[in-house]
Amino acid sequence: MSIDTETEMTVRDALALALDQAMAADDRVLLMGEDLADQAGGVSGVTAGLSTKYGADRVLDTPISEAAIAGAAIGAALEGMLVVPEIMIMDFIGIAIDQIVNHAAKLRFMSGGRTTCPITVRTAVFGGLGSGATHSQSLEAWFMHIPGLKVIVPSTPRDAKGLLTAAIFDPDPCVFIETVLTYGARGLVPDDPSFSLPLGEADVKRPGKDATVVTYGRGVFDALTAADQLAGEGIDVEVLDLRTLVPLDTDKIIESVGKTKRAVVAHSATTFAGPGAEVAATIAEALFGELLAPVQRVGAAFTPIPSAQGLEAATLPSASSIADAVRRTLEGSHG
Amino acid sequence: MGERTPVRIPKLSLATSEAGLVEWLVADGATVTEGDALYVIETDKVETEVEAATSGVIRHGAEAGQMYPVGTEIATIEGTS
Amino acid sequence: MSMSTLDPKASPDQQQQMLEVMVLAKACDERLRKGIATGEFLTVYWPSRGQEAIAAGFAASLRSDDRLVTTYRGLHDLIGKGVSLVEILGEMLGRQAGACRGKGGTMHIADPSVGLMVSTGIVGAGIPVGVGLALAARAQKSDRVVAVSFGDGATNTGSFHEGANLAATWQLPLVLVCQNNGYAEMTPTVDTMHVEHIADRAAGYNMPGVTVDGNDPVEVYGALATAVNRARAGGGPTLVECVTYRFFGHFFGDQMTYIPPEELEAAKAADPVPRFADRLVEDGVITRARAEEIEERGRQRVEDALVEVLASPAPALDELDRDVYATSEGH
Repeated sequence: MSIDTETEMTVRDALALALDQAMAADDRVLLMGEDLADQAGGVSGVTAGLSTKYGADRVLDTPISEAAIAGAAIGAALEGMLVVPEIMIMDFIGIAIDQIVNHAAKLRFMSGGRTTCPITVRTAVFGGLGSGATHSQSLEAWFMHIPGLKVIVPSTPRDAKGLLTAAIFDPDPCVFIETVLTYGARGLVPDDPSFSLPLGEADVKRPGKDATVVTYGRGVFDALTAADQLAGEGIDVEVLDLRTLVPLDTDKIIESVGKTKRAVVAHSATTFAGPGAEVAATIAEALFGELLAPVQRVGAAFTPIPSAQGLEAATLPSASSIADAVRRTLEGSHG
Repeated sequence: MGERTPVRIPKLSLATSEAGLVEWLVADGATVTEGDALYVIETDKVETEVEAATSGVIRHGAEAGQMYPVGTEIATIEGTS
Repeated sequence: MSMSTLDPKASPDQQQQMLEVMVLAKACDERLRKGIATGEFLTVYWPSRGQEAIAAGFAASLRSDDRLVTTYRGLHDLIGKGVSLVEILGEMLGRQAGACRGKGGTMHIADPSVGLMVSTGIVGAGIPVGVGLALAARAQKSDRVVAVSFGDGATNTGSFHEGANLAATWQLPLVLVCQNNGYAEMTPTVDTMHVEHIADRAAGYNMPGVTVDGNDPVEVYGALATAVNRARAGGGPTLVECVTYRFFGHFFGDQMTYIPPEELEAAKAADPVPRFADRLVEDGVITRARAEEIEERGRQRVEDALVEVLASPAPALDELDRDVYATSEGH
């Protein structure tokens, strides 16, 4: 008998649920990171209660040692543990990046498949909270660039739960990027403990026919707000949530933009050399003769992220800048 | 008739992708013994004598005074066994 | 049957085992260098010639299921841990017979079946991985021990300090083995740190640290056995500093202009491999004839392995589609 019911919860709760259910389902799952254990329960509370429930030897509090956290996670994963190391704030991932890039991503290939590394690096983007440039960055592009890694950026609670579950049990190393500003977003999550979503499948969050906003993470919420605004102007926007950046669901991107003929790519990483550039090039290659407008990209300004509220807001994308970009695709178009 | 063993420009340094064949130290058709110095190569202004890996009759396959990519076959040694 | 504690005094059998490992590593090195120097082999190589006694210590002190993490300068370690010559040479020469089917190369040889979990090309990066392997041993309720082999230069990296601290704080079954060969790449070790002995760094983590003559396999074995026993009994990690010397610089082809010639000559004159053979003969552990037989056998094993390796083809291009992800649909 399957469990069909759903419960409304926040993204934070959905992440906590995914971790709890994974640890209950499989003894191999091991969490490690700074301040994870009770009574801290993680800087954002995602791991609250887990060390009490599963023990301090399955929810490991570590020193401030990102290189060792990542490296130790990798070593344990080589022995078959399903390790979920946390890098508290994404800006700190530079200290761990050698292990992630040079070991986790490559050990399967370099060993000819003899050793594998099923880690899930959880990390969180703290942008939009006035924390300043070293505690605000969206660095997913760094990891998209490394063959051997999977890169996941969930938006809704349902996706957060389903994708984190999938990542934990995925045989490949995953970088799972949470966004603090979205932790409070509410939505329905299936109660079935085995609920999981396949990696590499984008999701149409809002169907539409006039333009596609391709986005992920925080951008999904902004795009949905923009879509509501634009609906009032008679513009029907499709919001395509990529969910995973690697594997990238290029089929879905091309299908959606092939239908609408207009695309805006939005993310909180910088526009310049951001993930949107890869998506835009993919769209251009596949749909060059069919597009009714050049692909628009909406991302962060090319500056370190300032702390003062107004300044910070000016550097980051918003529902408003996404809506403007959609309108630009409709200006002087031939459709 | 013995085995024909290729003589290739060695990779003598991490960053080297080509080397200059400075001069041959043995004539075309000469009989060489394993360990004999066959030719001089130059990389990054350092000259090195390259020895024979096997014994036999050497047949030149390339001219001195030129740069060759590492791994280029520049001669063969026909084994006398 | 595996003994739960090792006698730190090497038995005659263990001494002979260690000599065989040293001789084989030396023979493999010599054949490789000859091949590279003549253009017969096209490969990159970071020679461990001169450091064989440490690998011999691993061979005598580690169980088959104990783990070893090593580095790009790991030929001797691989032999000591029991990785086959065909797989080592095959991997270095880019053939399908190689440990990683040609995809890893010299620096990344792995054979988990004999406990060789990772060879890393990143200085210092093996220590945190070793910490994780030891963590898993404990989580899986195994009494296996993890050794991590690294150089003097690695002990200046952040990874070393983070890993050592974590291993000590969690009291993990880890043996940190520093092969101090006096040079970090092309810089004398004394110019890179303010401590006289690398083993002194262990005190900073409140872990035992010991310095031994890394060219004396009996002394190396004694220190490793003590450390392995301590780790296996739950007594936590040890830092074992083995003072040694490398005969061929950083990478094969290194002109070694930064090494005083008289220092190099003195090291070669004290070559640990023939010196250990002589000692075993003098001590009556083996006869001279047996020593010569071990030499000949080592050379022959290398040649036999090369026959198989050179007959093996280069990897097919479809290897590019394999092992990037678990399945080829990964991206």
